[in-house]
Amino acid sequence: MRNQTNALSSFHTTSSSLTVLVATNTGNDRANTMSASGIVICRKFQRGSCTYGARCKFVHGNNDLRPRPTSTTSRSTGKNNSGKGKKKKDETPPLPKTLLLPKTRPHRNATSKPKELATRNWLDIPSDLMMNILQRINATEILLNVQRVCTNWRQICKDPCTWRVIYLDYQSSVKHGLGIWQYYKPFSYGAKYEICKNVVDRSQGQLVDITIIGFSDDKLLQYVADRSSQLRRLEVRSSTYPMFLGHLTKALKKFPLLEELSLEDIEIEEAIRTLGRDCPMLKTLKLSNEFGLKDDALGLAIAENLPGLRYLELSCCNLSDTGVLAILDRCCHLQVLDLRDYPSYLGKIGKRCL
Amino acid sequence: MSTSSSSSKKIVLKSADNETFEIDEIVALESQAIKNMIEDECADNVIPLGNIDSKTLSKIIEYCKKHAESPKKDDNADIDEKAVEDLKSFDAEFAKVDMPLIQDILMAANFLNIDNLIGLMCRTIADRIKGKTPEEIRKILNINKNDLLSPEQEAKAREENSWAFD
Repeated sequence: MRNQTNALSSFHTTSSSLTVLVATNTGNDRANTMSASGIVICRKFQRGSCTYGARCKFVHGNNDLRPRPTSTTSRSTGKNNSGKGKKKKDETPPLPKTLLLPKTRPHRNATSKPKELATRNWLDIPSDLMMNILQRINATEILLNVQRVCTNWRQICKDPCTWRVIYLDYQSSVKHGLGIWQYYKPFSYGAKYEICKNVVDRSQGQLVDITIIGFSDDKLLQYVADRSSQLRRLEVRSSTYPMFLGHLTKALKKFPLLEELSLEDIEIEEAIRTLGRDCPMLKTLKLSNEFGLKDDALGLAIAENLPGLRYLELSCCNLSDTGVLAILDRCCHLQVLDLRDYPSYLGKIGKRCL
Repeated sequence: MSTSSSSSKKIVLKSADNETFEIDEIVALESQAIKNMIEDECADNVIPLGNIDSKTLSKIIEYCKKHAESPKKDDNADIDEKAVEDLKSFDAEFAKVDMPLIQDILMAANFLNIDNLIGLMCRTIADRIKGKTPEEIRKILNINKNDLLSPEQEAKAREENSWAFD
């Protein structure tokens, strides 16, 4: 039971496997949803409530071997599941020994290499991979450039599924002009609002994950809230305007399925009650606030209203010892408590964790 | 690599151009598809991969070897940070190949169901597209010119994007 693994940077209790990280900088950007794998696990499936079944665009657990391309073959038939509609050349019945990896169509490089080298056909890419790629690209760039690459990509960019995960970074700027006359201009307020409207409209209510960097105001947040009841993850960073608590609270009420919330520079204490009441699925909370006053309120609010948290990250929030201890007391499901920039708390929390 | 001992179980993969690769089972298990085959006991001594050529396959094996050797993330929360860094720089180095090969690796990784590798390749492609004009993207990805937007579509796209230029 009493097992202190790393006295300096983390505590690891074997009983509940709670990990407390203090004053470390791991820099895990966009960690959970856009994890290193790039595969989005179906959260509905994890809860056992996915109604999409085999049509679900998200991955169903580690053993999910559904043909991820849009092909309709099933794994039990032993057919080619490489995502290409082309018929196999030899129609000999597939050997049971190679059930999942049968001899498939001849590799395109082996048969038509010279042609392929000339122009590669990106239609070969299954649509889920294409979406995997697009989800990593700033939405402004998708609208301005990617959707104009070819008709196929334009179709993909019109598909609401492409916009289930939106990464919107306003800190980039628009390229104007041509050739050497190109220049960059930051987006105007109106443009920023229009972009967000545009991408949220494109998602047609299917939005599950949105990251907004460099801008957010209440009108914009409300626009997202009114149209995205499926939202599971919301992240707002480096906003140029402060968000007002009242509006945030109002928006959060529209996200009943929210599982992860990541906010910067907002005194969120008051909104946490709303979170506890209206977002019962919330598992991950990441807050950072450089200007917060050191008091008990934040810690106590979290402890009181969000006992179901699994992952809590508080950077630069001036949490009090009492607050931290209250969190450790009440949030019994907590697996990771990441308190960056808090070397001073080591002593007390250390004792508590042991 | 050096860790392969004579006692560990071997798996043989056969590429489309009939080249065979003998690898440790633990390396092959990086592929969820092969793992399932082995678990379902439908893996023969030799696993034919009829749609992956030897060049692509050897790259994939290189990747799987490295990742099989590295400590897994979910094993322990406080794993060696050096190992993580090492793996990161390996991935960065691994992705420095030309676009056709990246596409081949991506398709093969998708087929073999190697999540990390799919992610790495998609990230690489996304990084190469970022900040590029449509013409530049077509050039980078060598996209078929027959599939260009018609002038009407292009005009419509511009109209849709009129917000950007106010």
